[in-house]
Amino acid sequence: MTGRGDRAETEGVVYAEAIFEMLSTTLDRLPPDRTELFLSKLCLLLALEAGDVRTVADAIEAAMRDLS
Amino acid sequence: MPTYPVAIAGAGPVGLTLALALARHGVPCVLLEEDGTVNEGSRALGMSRRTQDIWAALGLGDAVQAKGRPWYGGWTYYRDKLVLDYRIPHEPALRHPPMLNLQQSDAERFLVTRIGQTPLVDLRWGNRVTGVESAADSVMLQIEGELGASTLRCQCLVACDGGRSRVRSALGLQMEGALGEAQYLIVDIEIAMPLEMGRRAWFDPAYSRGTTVLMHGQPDDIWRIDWQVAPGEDLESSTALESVVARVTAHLSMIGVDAPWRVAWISAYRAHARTLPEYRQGRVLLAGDAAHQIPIFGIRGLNSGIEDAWNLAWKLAFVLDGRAPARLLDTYSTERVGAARENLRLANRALRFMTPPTRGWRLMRDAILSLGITQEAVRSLINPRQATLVPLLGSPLSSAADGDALGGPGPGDVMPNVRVALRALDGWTPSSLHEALGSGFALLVLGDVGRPLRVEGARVVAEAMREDGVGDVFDRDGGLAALLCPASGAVYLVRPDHHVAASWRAFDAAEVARALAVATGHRCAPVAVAAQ
Repeated sequence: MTGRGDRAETEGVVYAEAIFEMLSTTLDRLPPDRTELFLSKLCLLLALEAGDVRTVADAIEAAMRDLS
Repeated sequence: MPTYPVAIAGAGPVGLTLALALARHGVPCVLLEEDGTVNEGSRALGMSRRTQDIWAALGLGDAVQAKGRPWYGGWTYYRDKLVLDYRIPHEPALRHPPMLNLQQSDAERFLVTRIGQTPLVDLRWGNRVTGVESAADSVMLQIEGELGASTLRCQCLVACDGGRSRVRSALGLQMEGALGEAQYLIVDIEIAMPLEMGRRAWFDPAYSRGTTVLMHGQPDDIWRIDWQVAPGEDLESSTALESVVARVTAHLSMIGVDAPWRVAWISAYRAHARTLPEYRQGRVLLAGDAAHQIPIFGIRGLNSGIEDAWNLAWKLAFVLDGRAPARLLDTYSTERVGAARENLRLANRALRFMTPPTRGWRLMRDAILSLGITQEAVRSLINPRQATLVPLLGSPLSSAADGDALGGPGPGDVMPNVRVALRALDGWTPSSLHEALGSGFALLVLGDVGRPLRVEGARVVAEAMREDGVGDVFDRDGGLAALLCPASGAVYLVRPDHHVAASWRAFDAAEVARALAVATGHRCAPVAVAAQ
């Protein structure tokens, strides 16, 4: 592969990496006993932002899997 | 006392590669190694395509390819479920596979054998550099050898003496970055396993909850297994044979392998992530682990050292014979420190995923892995992207030109080493683009330019449009068309280390001459090539 091809990480990957880092470092700033409340609030905000019940229901179903 | 043009401290893979690369440019060197022979035991393993290309240019490609085991992707598991089956981007027209597993000791033996065929390299085993005095016109070394103490004078010294570099210590240089806290147990076992080659990673496996395990195949039925040592676990007791046998047994049971095996090697590892801020101190230069320590999990440790050697060799040759000013050596530091910082960023990303440093990182990492079982959208975060090449962004040797917009390799990128046919006396012979470009500056001209070109200071390599036509290389496998700009008349100025210095839509003698002056350090780039 050319360097240019390798260099151009897709926008999706760059976005995902940035979100991964942002959420990880935010969680590290919280007391452990506030993590649950924080994540619940974040989910609610993002669900409202999504503006579509079906999208939120699909995400809930995906997140419910493989929890053990 | 004779003055050697170049002395190299350390005959590991980086020092050996540098010695051969200097010889390729006609520069003699003395290579001083503290040990009495090549490294034995389990060290670096994964050789990148770039390393394979460089070693092929140095004449050991056949031995490396015959012994090594190529691989093209890998598999990642979360507990007992496959979460990622990935392929590394690869074009069949490229000369070498994206990754090749080869034990470092085998690579060193191939390099030493090649050096034995090269009269320009004076390899001295059992010679330890104990002191360095750098002056304006030379460097004086104190050496301890089997015959006692001696001194040696050279024009330039290159420290390739590893992570515990004596030269670096003698100069009082301090690295920037972090010493690794996470510990790993690395075990090589000999076992016949009929598994496809590739990187296998297990996160939170049933027999070792909370840890990460990696497995790689090697030549000669050797398999390497890396275990993250759990926090609080004693590393010394982990390396005890009884403990190792229990781990290996549990691992083989988990993957359903029931074959006889034996332990070949046990070692422990801490993933340091550090670099010197400068790799040039007057007439002393530093390369490989002496200059930077990069976590092994991104497969960027040895490979970045080989690129250091390749970058430095032609610059030393040009400066020592007066073709370039001494400041060209500063660009070695600029380019390779920049590459090390990017390699550290990428390797740290892989390391952070393997061994989350905090509660927050671990929670998010585990969420990604759990979602990865069913959700394609998060799998890009699991892909280690080990084969990503690091271009020389913002290099002072690059020139911006109108070819940058063509879509092929840009300034600082490595010219891909595609398979081409090379003109021979009796027709065309299979070869590679890097071989066609040779060891100096080259001007690669694609398509029909309609007239013969002459360039002072660079060899012109022209593409033949037809097998019976005029030109130096023929794109028999379509690699040039696939990976470079297929526009007729496009021109690339390629450095001796096969990085692109500039590219144009069409040949312009004055533009090429200007870019060549920039690429050899004779003048500054008129338009800075911005880091992207």
